Amino acid sequence: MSIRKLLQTKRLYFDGGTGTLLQARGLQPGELPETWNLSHPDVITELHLSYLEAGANILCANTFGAYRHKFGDEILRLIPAAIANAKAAVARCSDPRDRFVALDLGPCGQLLEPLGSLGFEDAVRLFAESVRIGAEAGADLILVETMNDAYETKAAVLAAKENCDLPVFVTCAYDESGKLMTGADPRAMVALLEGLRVDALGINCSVGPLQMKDTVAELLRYASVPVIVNPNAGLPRTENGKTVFDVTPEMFADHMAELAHMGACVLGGCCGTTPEHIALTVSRTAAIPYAYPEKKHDTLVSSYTHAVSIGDAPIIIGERINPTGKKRFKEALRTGDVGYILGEGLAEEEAGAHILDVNVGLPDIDEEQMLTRVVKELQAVTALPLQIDTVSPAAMAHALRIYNGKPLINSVNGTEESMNAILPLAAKYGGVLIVLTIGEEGIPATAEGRAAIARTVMERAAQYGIPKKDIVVDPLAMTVSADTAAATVTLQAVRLIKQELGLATSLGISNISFGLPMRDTVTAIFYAMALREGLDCAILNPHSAEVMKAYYAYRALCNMDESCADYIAYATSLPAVAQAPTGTPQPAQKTNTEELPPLVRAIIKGLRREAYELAKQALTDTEPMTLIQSAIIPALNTVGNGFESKTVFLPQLLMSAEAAKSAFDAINEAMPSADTTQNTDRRIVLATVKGDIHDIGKNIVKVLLENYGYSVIDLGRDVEPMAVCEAVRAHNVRLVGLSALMTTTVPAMQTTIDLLRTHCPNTRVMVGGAVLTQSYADMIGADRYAKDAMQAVRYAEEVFE
Amino acid sequence: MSFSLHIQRFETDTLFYRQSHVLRYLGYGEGQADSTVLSQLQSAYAELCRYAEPRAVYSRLPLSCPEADTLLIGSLEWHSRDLCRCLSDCREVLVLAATLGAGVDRLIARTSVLSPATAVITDALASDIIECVCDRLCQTFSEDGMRLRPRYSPGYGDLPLSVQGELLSLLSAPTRIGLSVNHASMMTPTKSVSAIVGILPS
Repeated sequence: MSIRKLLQTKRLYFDGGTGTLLQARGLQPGELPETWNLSHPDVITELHLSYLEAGANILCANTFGAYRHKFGDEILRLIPAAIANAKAAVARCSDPRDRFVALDLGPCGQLLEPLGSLGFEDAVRLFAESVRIGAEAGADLILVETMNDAYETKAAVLAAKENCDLPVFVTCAYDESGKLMTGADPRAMVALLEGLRVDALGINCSVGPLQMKDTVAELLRYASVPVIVNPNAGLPRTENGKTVFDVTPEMFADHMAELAHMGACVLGGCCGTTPEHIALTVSRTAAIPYAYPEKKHDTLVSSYTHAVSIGDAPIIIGERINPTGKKRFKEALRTGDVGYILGEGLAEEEAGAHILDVNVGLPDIDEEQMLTRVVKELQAVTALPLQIDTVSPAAMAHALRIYNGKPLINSVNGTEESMNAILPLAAKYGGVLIVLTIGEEGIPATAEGRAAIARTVMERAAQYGIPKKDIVVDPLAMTVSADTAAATVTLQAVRLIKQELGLATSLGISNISFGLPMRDTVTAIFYAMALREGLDCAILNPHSAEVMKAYYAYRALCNMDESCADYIAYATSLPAVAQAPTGTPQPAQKTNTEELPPLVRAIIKGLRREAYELAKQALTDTEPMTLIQSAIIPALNTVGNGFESKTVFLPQLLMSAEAAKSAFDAINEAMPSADTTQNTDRRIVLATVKGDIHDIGKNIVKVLLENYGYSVIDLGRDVEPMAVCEAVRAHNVRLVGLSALMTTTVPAMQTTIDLLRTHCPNTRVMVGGAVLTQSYADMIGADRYAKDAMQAVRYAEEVFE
Repeated sequence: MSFSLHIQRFETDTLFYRQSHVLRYLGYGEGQADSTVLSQLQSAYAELCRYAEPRAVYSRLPLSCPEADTLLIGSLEWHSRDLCRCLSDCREVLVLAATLGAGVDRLIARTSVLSPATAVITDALASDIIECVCDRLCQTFSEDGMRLRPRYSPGYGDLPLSVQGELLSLLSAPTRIGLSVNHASMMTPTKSVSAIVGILPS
């Protein structure tokens, strides 16, 4: 019987630990256990056999770290040998029925981007090869285990799904606090893994069975597939030169029985557990009634840390990452200024958004490439789940693939074309669909018509195995000034879809007030009305005070805000914003800045908000260029000179830079055509070289160069040498800045410079970073060594003079 | 031969930093820091404590030095005259690795977008805090009666940075504490320390 079928009716058991047992048989510290598949096949088979006789149904083949980057071509022999050793044990076992051999996939040992250097697709490829070899060798299932990062787990599961048809089981290593090393909680992992359609999921390693109880309860609460529990035998300690674990087989079995009562379906062990632990667990849980888990109905979207549940309290989806009607945003997309977009996203998060909508579509840019880049970079700085918003199926496919978590998918509609393009993507990668109620004939005029489209999409989605809980319907808020019945139809549709179909709903509410005066008031009241009809999510501008007031007031009125605490906290934060205290008064500085013009003083002192307000005021009677020449530049020079003469230090230099930037922001807002910061003749490419992931120094240089009017093309960190050349050529750039922190990455800097000399002989190169010195810089042929950020600015001034 | 790995988690309220060191990283000389930067240091520290999940993994292993520049630890064979000299008289070592965790790298990335000044301060603080975590760990060994040589990390003297991967792999650091190296032998998460500490015979 297949393992999937078997799990419908009975509890199954995994084997236990191998590491400690192999060490007892002579494995050296640091020696790779996988090599024993070939050097000591009998030992491995004996160990497997002892677990089978203890009652284990599933053997983990000895392939935990069997990947090409560790073993090279050797994996072609190691993995089949590992599967053969396990199968040999099954053949020798007294009762070979219902026994399975799992290809065991542990972590690959490198951290994925953006925290590490390993690219997502590189990780998928690494796992994929081992999956193909293991499936070919006759594995019965794939076990992805001991995962401590959500992104790596996704890469491994995708690799398994794309390279075999075997069942996929996944266990992660949650620690005492119930989280993975990179932050994901059990609910987020259930959302991610069920979206990817794994057959069973759970926890292994890290801690003993007792400490796992809360995490197991959380997994059971949200999972609709069987939950696996493979704990350690507690913690290791050395006793008389031997490693012993503190949870005895008896204690272990008692605790496992408790977890079985709670509903765990697959039980086994990890580090420190022995055949005795498993044997006792099997006998002590045999009589506990077994039940396959019930389907759960929570609508969950997730990031790499947490899940957001749709349907409990109103969810705010920030709408600001969208170029529609925004000149500055469009410009950022065209110039690849992702930093600006990240700033918009973080501002929405601080204003209270729970999820961020991400739309970077412009006719004249490569949307697929840009959407992927923005999603990746946003996920490096915010833990909020994202709503991927694009009309391009290709861009959607790529973004869903690399997204770390289970996103909202914005959108699918009731046309054949849309359903055929989007539903398969949702089925493969997981995600919660936003269904727009648009059919072949457009948007129905009635609420019933819109609900009918929602039903059509729901039924079609079911054919792809997409459950109701993963559908959120957007019955479309249309401009009320164009059709005064528009709002009432939409509100009726919200109620109908909720009550008749039992689906969650979402609306982009800002559109409703288009063309009217006092738009925010209309939008906010419409929002409150929609919430009353049962609206679950709204795509809105979290910087709109009227809308946010409606949100907080609604929650307080509907008994969703204990003691009205959130409402009060929000209300008390408001006057502070409205009256804009212009920075906290600072104690007198050593430099005498009292008699300077206020804006100059604000920049020197690094007062961000004050600099912004003062610049705004000054612009009422001063030309932008005059303001820049008479206040901003002199202030920057004062600080820059101070830094060079060591009376001003790095944090102050940067605070002044931030203040100057907000003064520039005020100028750009007042007159978008002034174009004071984006000087296309004064372009500089910055990059941290290949292999190097420390980018703080490069970021400092960027901030200062921008202050001085240079347009910086920031290629980020760990940048391929050729990518630097390509950027230089594409933008016709005269100066490149390269940064490296460690000796190991200086050769990559050299390679980059050599390439630049060949392909872009007229481009100058400045270098900096902790490890660099003048002699290093000379050795690798740089034009200039910049000891600090101000020296980089001075060199740029020389080059562009 | 038996070999056990010990994992230690540190409560974030036990984290500390040396103000003078952090100010030095930031370029300040003695007495040059003003009250603004000192209060920013305080608030950046509070924020760091919210994101840090300090963990260490270590193991006590026998050491042999068959040649003046060769050392054997478990299955590792390293060549370094400087480290051999530092470990002379030692027959055992502690191999250790510690990290503040991925959350701190995320905090620094996020802060770089919001405020570069705060990012620079946070980065400097985190670098010092992880050193202090290691010092604290070694201090507990000393209190247990071990006589220790100074911490010695890959990249010091003639011990190449490229052994970092082997060291972390020996400790199963990627699975035990979520600490690994990239292809250029840089540790990820970045606020991490790996080291060998010689144990003098008692």
